[in-house]
Amino acid sequence: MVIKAFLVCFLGAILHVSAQEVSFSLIRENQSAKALQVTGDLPNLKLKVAGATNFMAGKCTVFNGQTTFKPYIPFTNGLTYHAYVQDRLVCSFTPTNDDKSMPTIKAVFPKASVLPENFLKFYIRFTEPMEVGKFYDYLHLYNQEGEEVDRAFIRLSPELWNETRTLLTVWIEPGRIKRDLGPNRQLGQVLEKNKTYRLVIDGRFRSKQGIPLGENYKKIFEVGERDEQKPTVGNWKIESPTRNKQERLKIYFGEAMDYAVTQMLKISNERGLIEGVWVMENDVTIQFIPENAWKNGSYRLTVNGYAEDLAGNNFHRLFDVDLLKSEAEDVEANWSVAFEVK
Amino acid sequence: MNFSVDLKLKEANNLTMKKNLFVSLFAIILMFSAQAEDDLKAKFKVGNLEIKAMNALDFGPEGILFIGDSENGKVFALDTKDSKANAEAADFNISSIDQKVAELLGTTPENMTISDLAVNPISKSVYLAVTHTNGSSVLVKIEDNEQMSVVDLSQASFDEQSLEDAVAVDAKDRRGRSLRKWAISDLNYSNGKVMLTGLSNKEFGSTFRAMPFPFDGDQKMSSLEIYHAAHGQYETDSPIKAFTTATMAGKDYVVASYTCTPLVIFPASDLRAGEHVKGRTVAELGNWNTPLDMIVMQKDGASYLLMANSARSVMKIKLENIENFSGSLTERVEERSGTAGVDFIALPFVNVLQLDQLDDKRFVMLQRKADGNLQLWTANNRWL
Repeated sequence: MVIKAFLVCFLGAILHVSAQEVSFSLIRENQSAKALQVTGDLPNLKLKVAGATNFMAGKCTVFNGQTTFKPYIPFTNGLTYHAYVQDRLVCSFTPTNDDKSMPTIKAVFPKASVLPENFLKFYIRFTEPMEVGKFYDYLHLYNQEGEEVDRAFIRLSPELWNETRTLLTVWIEPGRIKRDLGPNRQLGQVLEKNKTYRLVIDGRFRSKQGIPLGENYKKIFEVGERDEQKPTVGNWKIESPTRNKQERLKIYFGEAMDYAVTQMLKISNERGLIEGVWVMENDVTIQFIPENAWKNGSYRLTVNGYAEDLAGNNFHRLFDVDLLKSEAEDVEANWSVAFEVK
Repeated sequence: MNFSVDLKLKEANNLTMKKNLFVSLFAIILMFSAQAEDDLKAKFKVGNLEIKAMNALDFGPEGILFIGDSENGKVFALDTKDSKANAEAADFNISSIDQKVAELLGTTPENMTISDLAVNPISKSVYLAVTHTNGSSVLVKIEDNEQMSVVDLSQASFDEQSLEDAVAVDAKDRRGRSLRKWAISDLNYSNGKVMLTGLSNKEFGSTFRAMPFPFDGDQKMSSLEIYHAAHGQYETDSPIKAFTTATMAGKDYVVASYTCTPLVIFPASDLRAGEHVKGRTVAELGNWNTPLDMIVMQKDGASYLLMANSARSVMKIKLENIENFSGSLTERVEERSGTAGVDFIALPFVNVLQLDQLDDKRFVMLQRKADGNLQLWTANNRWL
């Protein structure tokens, strides 16, 4: 059997030395203890968490004088497990995490210190993969009087993590932003113009490995005017790069854009898509770093029409459309602007 | 079909004829049901069903469980092989179910979440989608209010449908990963179709998908956009949090509840690719509230929508009232936490997280009691 995982003899906290009647080790993979391996033929090996009433589920296999118990999810770091054979305690162990990488918050987008009254989304970038299903217990918004703003965020299930669980999207309560919906009429906007707010992420929020952030994260921002304009490429300014150089292309949006715009832009020429990386310099400026040096000629910058500004207005339509004002909807799928490299 | 049976019947006496006819019909029914089963599971393969995130569950016919997996960007159809009819299922009543599930998985309740619940309509077993904080997901089965087990998916019989094709392909980040996450918020099977709603971490809008089952890669409704109106003046789209299907006056509808509280219906026949579908807002269900789950139950010829909510008790709405409610909401509601539109009755069940129909007369609920105890229990249709 090919086992990519490496075996690490268990050297962690052994709580019941007298109970270690068998020699054993934990099979670890990606910082998690995936299985218990015990010397001897023990087909009736059963496990339970210390203090639990019932035994846990898992697959027990006996091969070559070794018994392996594999639970359906990895053993939880920090919990103590007892292994039994016919009601006799044969060993105990407490898996610990060798990787002590402390998670931190790398950035919160938008970076601006002034946000529109109808602001919609924060993106929180962590340095480590984080735990799932618990974030909203650790997320708070306080007004300038220091009072917590109740019902500021919508608690989504599932949470909106990226694939590596290092980037989380959170939404301000949309029912309070959308004009004339019940929550908006009765409770008003979450954010009020000309007031200051404090976004706080509790330091007890943990990484996937169970290690907490440690310190509370704070972002202080002010609230400005409501944004009731659709973004438009007409306001964009492109700082063209020079040919034969691997220079960065800079785009000034003319207004703060949602962080997801980094994934909704592309540059092409007559030969096809130009490969490279998009980096948000700040909320109103983005850079494109090409893989290869620019060649002279005509290029086209295209944006997916569903890219949004900070208030959730996209190129097609406003976040909420006032039908009495007959705000027209644009139906183009993409918007683009041409530029030259000389 | 054996036509010689018919010839022999002519010479038989009446009693034998009836008996033979019965046997023949029974054989034909069996043959057709076996054929139907073959059709639905014909493309199923056996292997390791690797689920990354079990977000939503719903049962289809013949013990097939549909599982929405946001991490994989797929819908799986799992043959649970749990198809023994159980007409006399006992009530479910399990207190501290999170503690018991946690013990089964070898962890503690604070390290896991029950993401969804579905009842197998044939066996009446309860299935739970359980997610550990480290991201692992498992399927837990509870039989007859007693036996709790983890469903082993390493040798499962299943089919799958990718959702990736339905999502625009985006530029990748520095390491070639897409920033996009399309999180499945609800999933339902109805009339040969699997329907899903989702939330995107990039765009704020409604995403509704429907695909035929057995899967054939067809997702014609992927670009559907559903709008709803707020009091006649504002038109907006918003992600759907929970939905179900219902038949009203012989017509099939999708009944959807949005993250921003309106209850909206639209005819299933309107769900066509690329259409700008405007749903009819029939109620605003109050503030401080997020819809969590909804089902339809029948009693005395009437159908009722039951909806679980984050901050309000389970609501009961007579479908006939929705059917008869004409137009969209136009009246303002002045009082705090007021609601508008069709009448609903608040049932005395607060903090219900999940619900599903157990049989024609009963439904099961996952409810957080006032003392913090998470209980799986059964209510009957006297509440309807």
